[in-house]
Order: sequence, then structure tokens, then C-alpha cells
Amino acid sequence: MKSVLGKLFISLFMVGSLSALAASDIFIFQTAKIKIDNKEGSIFIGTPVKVLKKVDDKNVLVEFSGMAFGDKLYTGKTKSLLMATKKEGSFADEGQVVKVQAVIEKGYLSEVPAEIWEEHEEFFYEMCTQCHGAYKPQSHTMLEWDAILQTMSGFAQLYEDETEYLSRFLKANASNGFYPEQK
Amino acid sequence: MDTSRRDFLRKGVAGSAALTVSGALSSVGAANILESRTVKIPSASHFGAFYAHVRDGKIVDITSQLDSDANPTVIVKGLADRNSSNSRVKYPVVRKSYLEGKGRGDLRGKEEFVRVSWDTALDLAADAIKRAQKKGGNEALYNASYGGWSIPGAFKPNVLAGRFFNQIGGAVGTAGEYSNGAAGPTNPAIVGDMEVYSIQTAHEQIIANTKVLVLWGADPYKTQRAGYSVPNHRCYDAYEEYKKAGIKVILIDPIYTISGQEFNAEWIKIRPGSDVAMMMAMMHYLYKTGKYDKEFIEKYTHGFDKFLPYLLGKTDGIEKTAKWAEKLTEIPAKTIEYLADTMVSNRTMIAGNWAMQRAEYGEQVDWSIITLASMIGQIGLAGGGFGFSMHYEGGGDAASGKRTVGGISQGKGGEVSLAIPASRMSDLINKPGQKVTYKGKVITYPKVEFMLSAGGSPIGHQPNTNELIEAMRKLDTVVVMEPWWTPTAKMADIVFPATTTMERDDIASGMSYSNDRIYAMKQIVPPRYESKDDYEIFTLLAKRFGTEKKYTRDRTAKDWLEGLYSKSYARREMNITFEEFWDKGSVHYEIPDEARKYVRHSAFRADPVANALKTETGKIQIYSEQFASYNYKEFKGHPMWFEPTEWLGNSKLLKKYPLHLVSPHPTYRIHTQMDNTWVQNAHKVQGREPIRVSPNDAKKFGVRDGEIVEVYNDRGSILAGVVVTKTIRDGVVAIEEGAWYSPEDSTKDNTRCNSGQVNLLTSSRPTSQMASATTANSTLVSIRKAGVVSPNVAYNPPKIQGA
Repeated sequence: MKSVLGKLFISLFMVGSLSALAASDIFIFQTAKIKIDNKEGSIFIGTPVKVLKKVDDKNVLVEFSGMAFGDKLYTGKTKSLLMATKKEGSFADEGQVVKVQAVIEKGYLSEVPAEIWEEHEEFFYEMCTQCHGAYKPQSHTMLEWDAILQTMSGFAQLYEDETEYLSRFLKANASNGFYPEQK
Repeated sequence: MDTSRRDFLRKGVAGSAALTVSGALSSVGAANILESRTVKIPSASHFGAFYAHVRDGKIVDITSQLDSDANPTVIVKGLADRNSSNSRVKYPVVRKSYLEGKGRGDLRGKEEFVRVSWDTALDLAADAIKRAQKKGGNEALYNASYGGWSIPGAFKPNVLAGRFFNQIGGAVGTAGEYSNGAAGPTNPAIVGDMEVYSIQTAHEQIIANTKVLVLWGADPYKTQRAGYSVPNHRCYDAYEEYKKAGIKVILIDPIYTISGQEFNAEWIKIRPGSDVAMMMAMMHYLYKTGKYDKEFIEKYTHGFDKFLPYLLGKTDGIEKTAKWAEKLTEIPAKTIEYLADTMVSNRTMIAGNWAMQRAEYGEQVDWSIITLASMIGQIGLAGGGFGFSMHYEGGGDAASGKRTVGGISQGKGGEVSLAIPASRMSDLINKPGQKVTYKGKVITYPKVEFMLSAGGSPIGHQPNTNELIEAMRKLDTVVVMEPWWTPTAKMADIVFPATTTMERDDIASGMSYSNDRIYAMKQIVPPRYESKDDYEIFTLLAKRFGTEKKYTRDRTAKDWLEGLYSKSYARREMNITFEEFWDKGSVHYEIPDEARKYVRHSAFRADPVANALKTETGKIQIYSEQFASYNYKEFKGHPMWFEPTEWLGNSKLLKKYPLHLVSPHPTYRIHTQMDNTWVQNAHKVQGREPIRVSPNDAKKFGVRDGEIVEVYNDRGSILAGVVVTKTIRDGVVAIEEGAWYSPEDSTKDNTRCNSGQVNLLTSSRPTSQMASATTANSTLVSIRKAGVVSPNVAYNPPKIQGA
């Protein structure tokens, strides 16, 4: 295992956009621990990844792209969605788009976004349809959801952790979120 | 369900009586109270929390809960009258031709009804839904139950309707709203927040720091009377402190409003619809004189460089000078410059309103105020900047930060979740297959067959009433659930009698921002006639679709209320049981002192990087690349002045319709609510909605105080009672929205309304391609002698066979 992880690397290169995200067909089922370059990190619920290869019976090597801000990897410059963190060091220079490879337990992967967000979705409709009809997450961009939640989290009387929980669901499923092809 | 509800009621009433005894011991002899046959039951409304005094099953008085509502309005007094009003829908009814299977939608509003059993009415409604589904799928269903204003409780009819439709596959709904249809969808991209519903700088900070308060159309003294939740009217105490603090108040408004009068404000009698022009001129002046805050613009905003050429006339050849604006606004250039000087040299809070954006090109209003406030440079400073909600829900109240109670969920929608922009209701019905733009997207209107309205009155809130009536007559079926014979109910095929909040149990929160109380809305009297709770009506309807269990989850009304209460701070942190709360009638939350220090946008000002706005650049978007990319004709990348179609600057139209009509929020109602009560006697003129006319215009049109006149344009005509007053500027008349429509001759189309429903005159023209919102305040009219008038029968039930 150690020898395999030792060969892992973070490849750094500039890409014009993160549209490659849409091409991934497997997603993180729930926030989980990962190993990046043999060091500990976390990958967050919903993040799309590409499986590169099997590491052992339990683990696989995956790859994902994001924009680096210190030890955090986001979907873009507005830092709307956190994709991954690492305990030591930074992912790349500030604002640089990088591809990251990591080892993760394969049980944390799912091919069905709806399955991943089942509980979040229920919470969303529970909290956000008490006064008005619901807008589907895909009806807004990530940034729009951020802005709308600034106002509406107060009206829905959400606690901070609940806002965070809801916000992640809405942004991951936003029109420019992890699954833009979703209708 | 019924049994438990009644038990619940009995317990509630007993609890209330006990409270009355213990609460009254200090001031009144206990023996007298015990001997009294009058029971005092706590409840709450959009107009405040109150006690109903019930004797022998009848409400004999309504008094305010003074510990909650220190400054009650007279409106609560009308609640008892409304409950026992003859305008109640007493039985399920069906329009005659519809019941006979002839359809004849063209006779809606013209024909009598027939009393039927609940089962017949429910079966007919269910059949109509299934018929529409078969014909056009769920996109043929239109859930017109819009907004949650009918009651402040958890059992909001619009929510219950949404829950029902969602569980049978969805229906066409509403995107955005009438109130903030233009600013609501636009502001988030400009300033990273809707702003129109955001918590405002605390009153304490205004009182301590503000030197100049600009009420740009805002009329807090009037609009704070009613609330979306249960108002405590404490803001009026704060306003007294505003006065004592010596804050200079400037009112920019065609009407010298109650707020203007209370604050003894300096009145800038602006021409309606020209506000953006004045804002542009103020910005031009600040730029040219170098008085604007360059540092703020550089540090906190994006795109000033793209806006500036427009301001200076380099892109369109029109420099936005004060002289230029003088012609448009009818405010002298010197006054415009003085206003800019006053605002930039004093700590100034600009209190925007919502009426200005309910006008053609309404998207520009808040954007222009935000840009002006950016140039003034006080955003994020205590008592400075702008606020778009200072007139709403006690805006400025400090927040308790504690959870009150929510409501019932509509759940996830079905396959159909199409939503049309609010105010496009008539277009939806009239223009199947045609397209409407909304925030960079294109929506295609489906073919709607079935329409349901619960707890609302489209014939009240949709502009151009005649257009809507014509549209509604094209539908296969119209179903209405209402406690009262509203004008919309009279246009239905099937009408279900719903209980009022006085006839069922519910729960409500106090104040959307301060969240300072939870109220029990207890059943006060038994349901009248054959009325049923909205929850029960939808459950019975759901049963006909096999979704009953899903709809109720086997919960009684009490189960829902207890469940909602269980999530509150009162239950979780204060450990007050539901029974204790219910017996007491309310729970009060303390407001932490820290909350009184809140200054809107102060975190952004302190650190614009760490606390970046949720916008494209993290800054205030004076220019938005996103907006520019929409390529709309009358909504560009930066705020702009667009000349409206209907306004006093249109010399051609003025020849025919020389008066600008504004339709402000009502003083004695929420929209159409309470129009069927005696409270209206406080202001109606000969039973008609008042029209405010300046003395000069009264002379010009030869009309007298107290006279009934006809107000008209190409869209319709109404009767209104003249009030000649110097509190409105020349060339402008005002009729408050919300009077119930009463057709003078219901057998004819486009007949005169003899009640004064202002939306017969307003236009359904959209603001722009951006928000496609309502433009009710862009209306020109004329006045003429009314001739022979007939009585206003807006509040009478229609003819009903068998009842």
C-alpha cells in the first residue's frame, strides 16, 4: 500500500475551465477521508471523481479537478463549493486549477446523484416550502443560491450548520454545480 | 381528526379561562371573572395578536394582546365582523351550467350557483383535475394559490395546495412575486443578497448615528401596520426615538404619506416613474463635483468605469445632469444637487421601497439606489447606506436569534415544476405556446385547463382585471377555496367553503426579523355553516387520488402543530411543553443586546475579501457581466434610465389620460383582506374606494370632495370617492389596491366596477425581459362624472339555488 501511495502525485497544470467535472460519472457518497500523496485529506459529499484504478480490494485511486486556495480545493474562484482539503501543505498556488489524485475507500462512491442527496433534498423541501413553492436546485447557479440563502436562511430560521448543509445540496445541484446536465 | 380537534379546542378554551382568572386577579375581583360568561381566547393575525372575548358561542369583542402589541391598529377589531359576515361561503356550490355538464366558461361571474353536497363538489373537482391531466398532463393544472399572506399560521392555504399538487405530479406555479417581482430576482447578482427581505440595520444604530433619513417612497408608518407574520408594532416606539434624535427626514414621493406627516419630513414631490432619472442626476453631480467617495467605489464596487461613460452621456449622447433630470422629475436641478449634497455630507440612510420597482423598468430602481449609495460611500457604516426593508416586518428590529415555528412542507414537486413569473397569470392562460423571458431563461407557456386558488384572490392582485376575467372564462374549470365570497370565488365553477383562522387551531411566529414570539392561534368559535379546514378539504381531495396518507401522514392538525412547536427554541432550550405554551397562548423570547448593534454590510466593509459579497466579483456589481450577457433590450449591464410608456412625460398619451395613477398598499387592509368589514367605514367614500386628488386637479376636472367619480382608461373603468387633499402632488391620483371588484352589470364584458378595484385600470405590461414583473404603478387615467351609479354589491354573496 505504502509503495503504491508513494507513487501518487499531484499534477499541476492550468486548464481553462472546470467543465471536465461534468464528464465524471461517479461521485462521493458522503464526506470521507482520503490519502493524497500518502497524506491525509478529506473529500466532500457530491464531488465528482474519475476512478483511475483499483488500489486493493477496499480502495481505489481517483482523480478530480478544482481550484486551489491553500489547503482547500474549490470548484472555482468564488469558493462556492469545497471539494477537498488536505492536512499538510497546499494543493497549489492560489487560484490555480489542479488535478488531484487520491486514494479512497470505494464504498464512498456512488453513480447516482439523487441517492447521495436524498436526505438533503428532504430537508430542503421541508424547510423551504413552508411559505412559497420550491425552486428546483437546478433553477439557480451556485452563486445565486449563495446570495438567496443570505436572505432566506434567516426566514427559514436555519442554524448555521443547517444552512451549510442546505447550501451544499443546493450548490452541488445548481445549474453550474456538479451535475449541470441534470434536469 | 374531528374528534381530536374538538378535544383540543375544549382543552384550549379551559386553559384560556384559567389564564384569564389567574392573570386578572391583581386588577379585577376574581369572583366577577368567575361569574362571567365571557371567555377570553388568545389568537393572532396579520394585524397583531389579540384576545377574542366569547360569550354564548359568539365573539363579543376583540382586544389586542397588549404585552405583545403595544401599538395596536384598529384593523384587529374588524376580525370578528369578518368572521360572521354575510359574505361567508356557507356551503359547497357549483356554477349552474357547470353542474349541468354544459361547461359554458363564458358565463363565469355572470351566472348563479347551486348548492351541492361536499361529495359532489369534491368529485367534480377531482374529475376536472383528472380530465386536465389526461388532456395536457400536469402542465394543464395551474395552482394559482400564490403567496402566504392569507394567514400567518402554519396551515397556509397556498402551501396546502402546493402539497396536494406536488403529490399528484405537480402543477404550474408562480416564480417570484408581485411585491418584489423586479428587485427580488435582480438584487442578488448586484449585491449578493435579495436585500428586499434582509435584516436591516438595527433601530438603535439609526437612532444613534443617522443624521438624514431618506424615505424614497417608503411609508413605514402605514405598511408596518400589517405583517407577514404577527406584528408587534414595536417599530412605532423606535420611530418616536427617531424623532427625538432629531433625524432629518426627506420624503421623495408623489404623496405626502403618513410617514412624511409623522416625521415632519421635507417633501420632494417627484413625478412618478422618474426616480431613476433623479438618482442618475445625483450621481452625475457627485462625480462632477468630486464629492463622491472614490475609495469606496474602488475598494468595494465593480464596473464603475463601465457605468461612468453612460452617466456622462458618452454612450448615448445624453449627459445625466441635474438639468436633464429636472425635466423628467419636475424637481428643480438645484434641489437635486442640494439633495446629493445633503446625503453625501451627512450620515444618510436611504430607505427604499417596493412600489417604485412595481413599475415599468422596475429592475433599475434598487440597482440605481445601490450605486448612488456606493458613491455616497456609507454602506456598512452605522446608520448609513441603504435599506430596502425598513418598512416591512419591523425592519430595524433586533433579532432574537431564536427559532420560532415554521409551517407545513409542500414536499418535493412532481415531474412538473414549471413556474411562471408572478403577474404573468393572464398571459399563461391566454398565450399557450408563447414564450416569456425570466432572468436569462425562456419559459414557454403550456396550455392550462384547470386553475385552483386557495387563500388568495387573483381578481384582486393581478393587474388588468378585465384581461384576467376574459382569460379565466377560457379555462375548463376554476376551483376556489375560500371563507368568503371574494370576487375570485364568484368567478369559479366550484367553490369550497373554508374555515377562518378563528374556527381552527394554528400556530404562528412573531415578526420575521426579530422572531420574538410564538403564538397559539386558538380556535375561537365553531366552524360556520358547512365550512371545513383547508387541510381537511385538501385531504378529502387527495383521497380521490389515492394520496391521502401521503398528504396527512396520518397526522391530525394537532399533531402537525405539536411537531412544529417541538423544533422551537421554546421547547428545546426553554423546556416549555406544548401544553404549557398552548395554555398560556404565547412564548416570548428576549432579544440579546448584541443584536441591537447590527449594522448591515458592516462585515463586508470591514473586510471585503474575507466577507466578500456573493456576487460575480465579490463586490457590489455596478456592472454585471452576467446581466450584460442576457442581451436584453431594456436591461443592460449597468443601471440605466428608461422612459416608461405610461407616465406624465408621455405627452401623446396625456392628451387622453392626463393623470398618473398610483396604487399604494392599503391603510386599512392587507391587499383585499378586510375589505368586507366595517373597518372600511373609516375611509371609504360613499362605500367606494377613495381616490386622492390634489386641489388643483379637483378644480381642473370639476370634481368635489366626497363625490363619486369614474376613473378610466383603455383597460377599464371604476367608481371611486373623491378625497381632495394637498397631500398628493398635481397630476397624480392615488387609489389604494385591494377593494373588492363589483361589476356594475355582470352580464356585460368590461363593465364598470362600482367598488373601486384599482387593478381594472393597471396594466399587465412586464417590467422588462429580465423579471417580467408587475408594473401596476405605471398607469395613466382620466376622471369624469360618474353619472347614475348603482350600489356597491362587492360584499354580497351571488345568487345560489338551494341555499
